[in-house]
Amino acid sequence: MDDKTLFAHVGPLDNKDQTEYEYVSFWKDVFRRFFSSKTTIVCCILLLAIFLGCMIIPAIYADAISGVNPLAINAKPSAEHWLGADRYGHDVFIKAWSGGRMSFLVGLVAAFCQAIIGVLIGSISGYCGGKVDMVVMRIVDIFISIPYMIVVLAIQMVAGRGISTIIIALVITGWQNTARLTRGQVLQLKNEDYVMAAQSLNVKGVTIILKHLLPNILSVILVSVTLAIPSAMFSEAFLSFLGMGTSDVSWGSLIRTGMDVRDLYPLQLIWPSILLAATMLCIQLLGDSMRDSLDPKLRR
Amino acid sequence: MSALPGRNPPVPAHAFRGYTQDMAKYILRRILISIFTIFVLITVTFFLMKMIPDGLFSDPKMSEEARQRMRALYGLDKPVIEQYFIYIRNLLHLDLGDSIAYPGRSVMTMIYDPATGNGLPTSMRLGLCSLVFSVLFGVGMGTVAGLNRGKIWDKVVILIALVGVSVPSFLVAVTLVSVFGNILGWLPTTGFSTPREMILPTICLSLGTIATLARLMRTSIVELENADYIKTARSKGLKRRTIVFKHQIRNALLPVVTVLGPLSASLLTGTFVVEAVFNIKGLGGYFVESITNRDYGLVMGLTVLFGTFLVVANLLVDIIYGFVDPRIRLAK
Amino acid sequence: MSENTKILEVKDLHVDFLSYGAENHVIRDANYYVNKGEVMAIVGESGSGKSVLTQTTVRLTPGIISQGQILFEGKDLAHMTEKQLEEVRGRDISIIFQDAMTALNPTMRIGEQITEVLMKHFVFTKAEMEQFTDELLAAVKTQDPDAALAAWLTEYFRPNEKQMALWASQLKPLLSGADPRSAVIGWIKTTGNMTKERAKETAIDLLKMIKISDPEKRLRQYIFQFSGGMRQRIMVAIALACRPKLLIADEPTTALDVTIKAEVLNMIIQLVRELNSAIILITHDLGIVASYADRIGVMYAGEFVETGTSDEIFYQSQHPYTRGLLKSIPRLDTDSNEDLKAIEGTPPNVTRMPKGCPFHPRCECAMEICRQQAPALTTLSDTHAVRCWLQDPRAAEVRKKFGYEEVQP
Repeated sequence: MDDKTLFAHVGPLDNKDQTEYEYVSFWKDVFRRFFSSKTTIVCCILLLAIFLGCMIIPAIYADAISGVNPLAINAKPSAEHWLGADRYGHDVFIKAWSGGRMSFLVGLVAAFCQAIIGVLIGSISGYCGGKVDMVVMRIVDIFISIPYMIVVLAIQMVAGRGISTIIIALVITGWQNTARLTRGQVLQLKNEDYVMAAQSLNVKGVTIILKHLLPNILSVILVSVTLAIPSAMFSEAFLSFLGMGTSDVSWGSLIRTGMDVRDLYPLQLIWPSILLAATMLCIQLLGDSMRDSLDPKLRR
Repeated sequence: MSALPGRNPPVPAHAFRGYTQDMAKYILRRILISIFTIFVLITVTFFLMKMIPDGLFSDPKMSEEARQRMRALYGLDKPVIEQYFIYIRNLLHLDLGDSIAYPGRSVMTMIYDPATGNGLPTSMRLGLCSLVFSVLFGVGMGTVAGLNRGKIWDKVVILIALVGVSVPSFLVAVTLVSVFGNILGWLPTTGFSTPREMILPTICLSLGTIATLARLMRTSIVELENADYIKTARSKGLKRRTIVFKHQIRNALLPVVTVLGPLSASLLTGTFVVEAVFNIKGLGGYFVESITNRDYGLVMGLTVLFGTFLVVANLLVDIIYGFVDPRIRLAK
Repeated sequence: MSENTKILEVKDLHVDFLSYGAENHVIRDANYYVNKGEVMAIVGESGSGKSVLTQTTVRLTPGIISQGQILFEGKDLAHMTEKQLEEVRGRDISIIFQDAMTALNPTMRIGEQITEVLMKHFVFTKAEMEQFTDELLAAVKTQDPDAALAAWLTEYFRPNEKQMALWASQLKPLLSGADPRSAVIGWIKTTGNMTKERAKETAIDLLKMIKISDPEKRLRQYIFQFSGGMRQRIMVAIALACRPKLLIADEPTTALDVTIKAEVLNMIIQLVRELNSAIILITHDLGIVASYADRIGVMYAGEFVETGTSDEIFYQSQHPYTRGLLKSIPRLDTDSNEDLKAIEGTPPNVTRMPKGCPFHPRCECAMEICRQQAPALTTLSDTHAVRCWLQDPRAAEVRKKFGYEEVQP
């Protein structure tokens, strides 16, 4: 190119904005970052495998874990019973999968109910503020001072043992954290311009909470709910261990019975423990990774 | 918010008040709130227990006359309100009521037997040992990991912490007992009176708490690494060690202090499991027993006791928080 | 003492940042210097690299210096160890950050935050005391004793005028005494060395200096108990505590209300002048530097596009970007009815620099060459340099078209 063309005036480019990135929606970006880590993908696959295993395996081999099988009582591991059988002659391998159903049920239902109640109370308290807020927060304080064992105890006295007792107790003692979290977030968002704008247009409080506040705090709540799942599963196992749990088959009750025979038949303890620990680890790691990918500060 | 950006905005009145005065006021307010909370807790527990169908003396073999006698013995024939005031009065005299399953024994003597020294003191000792142990190790490990991000110590701590939060404490307890007690035979696996006996139970109880604290402390330290005031401290030419100890750790501890309350609650319930595994004569046994026996006198006593304990723990945490964070203490 | 000695000179500085495995050249070929006692302003849009450049000057960023030198009083900061840097930071060069609320420790009393820097730099070890003494004894032999003594006191103890007079009168007899070495060491131990009490007195003086009333009480308070303007002034007090030779003020008034901006900036400039120190004033607002700056450097996308004295930048600017900035300042001193003009578009992201001159996508004078090749630095006078293809003789036509007359020799 000769000097004349090189030094010819061409002016600015039409597109002067150089910060143009391809526009990525928030959730798409969260998704991309969430799955960018290998650990996360491995955890997802593992968790999905355990979950599906719990749903499918016991359904197919229902016979191996029902009734009493006198021939296989405390059988050693074999081709037929991979990890041996327990005192009812039930296959240890398959029974643990069916125990997972109960653990998942407790974890998911308790976490979900906690979240609903917590978000409801927290957002009302935060949004209304003033006296309402003060009273609600005092109530939360009081609830936090009640150990959940006591609640389990009290409900068991009235309603007897069972999975629902545990879930109710977990919900009663667990919603306060979500409520506090939601309230804190709502208090922050309440003074944002878009909320004030909605208020000045006489939009109803319920509508503001549902349409303007909740979508913005959804991510924080999602992480807290995710991390509530393993803690609920843990509590179930814990109560079963103490002999305060359910008589249904769950990881906790399996571990409990496995504990009694751990010297003779360690597999009856080890296998359900592995499943429980692996599930808790996966959910924990997924929760961590979810928090990181939802953090707008780390967005790029 | 004041609308006009004045040159000399009015200094808030509290700004000139003395430190001790502020702190005293803050503590007083916290104590009043705690007392109120305990009072509500007691009241709610009492009336909830009264709502439970009277199944305690429902043994069909028991005659109606005997039942009436029993009710009179426990003062259950009086009006509920009167029972309530009697209960409160007794509580003020540190009388937690009577056991129903063990007639003639008060809850107080059950949770603390001066003859053997079992019960509450043992559980308290276990809980306190673990609290101290987990705070020291959890905060220490989290700090080391956070300051050496990405290096080998960080990875070790992350791994330990992950195992700690995802493996239930009773599994850890059983494993440790098998390995150190039964297989290696290094440490005793029952009791909690000699220092050697105290090692394993304390470790078992602390592991989960250590993991939680270490993760929290690590995140906190890492976040502060980029804080503006850490950069300011560096721009002053301060040594890295000075910055870490005087600026970074102190501020990183703030979120850690807030979880100490809930953490002591989980240690409290954790003692039950550890007591069961190590056959320690603490409170846990009574607790489990009281359900099997439907001993609501004991349940009520324990609820009030634990509730009070947690309220006091939260109160202490609030006070500590007031000391470390001036923004809390000086807020109106 | 000649007024034009360079206290800081940055030569051909290239700074890279590693992010997500990629190496980004954030600062490219930066050259600037600061003379003793002058006000040097660095101007540019947000994201132009001004803060990174100046903070890297004292090695506060994790940026990697791939090339170049940072000469402070002849010593190269780019190759110093962390320990050597600690001696310079806070004592010789200190920084005022933009937002005092986040730049000061929220849980530490103001007093402690002021005194800690004094205690760091003016508490000496035995070895240091001996070394200082030997230097003094050597200096008084070869130079004028009074001047040497004053220079020595300033270098190591940073006294105010009162202390200077007092200390010089204390030291003089010691120097001519029987055992000057142990006498001077003794003086450092008892008088020169910083004590907690003296640090507190100094802190009180500093608060008085920044016009905060009731300083004794205020020292025991926390940053959140002060108003915005006071916070920034406290930041200034901390930065000036050691009477540094160079102050870097990184957008010191950006976070403040309009009404107190000028007040705080005036105070900074006045205090720095009293200390006879130099200042690098970073801002994105050319308007506010007009009345203070001796020299101005204009940054764009990690490069200096034009540097020159205040007059050269304001009246003879040769870079289209500088002119763009000037057009965007509201001015009261001209009668013209010209509208204010913003430079259209936004600066480039470091991760995707445009080919050629980084400014060409927004430049009204852009030529074909600008899109292909980055321009080199052209020196127009001792103080004035510009990085633009318009300076090329072949661009005379375009230069004329847009009114870039030749610089008067």
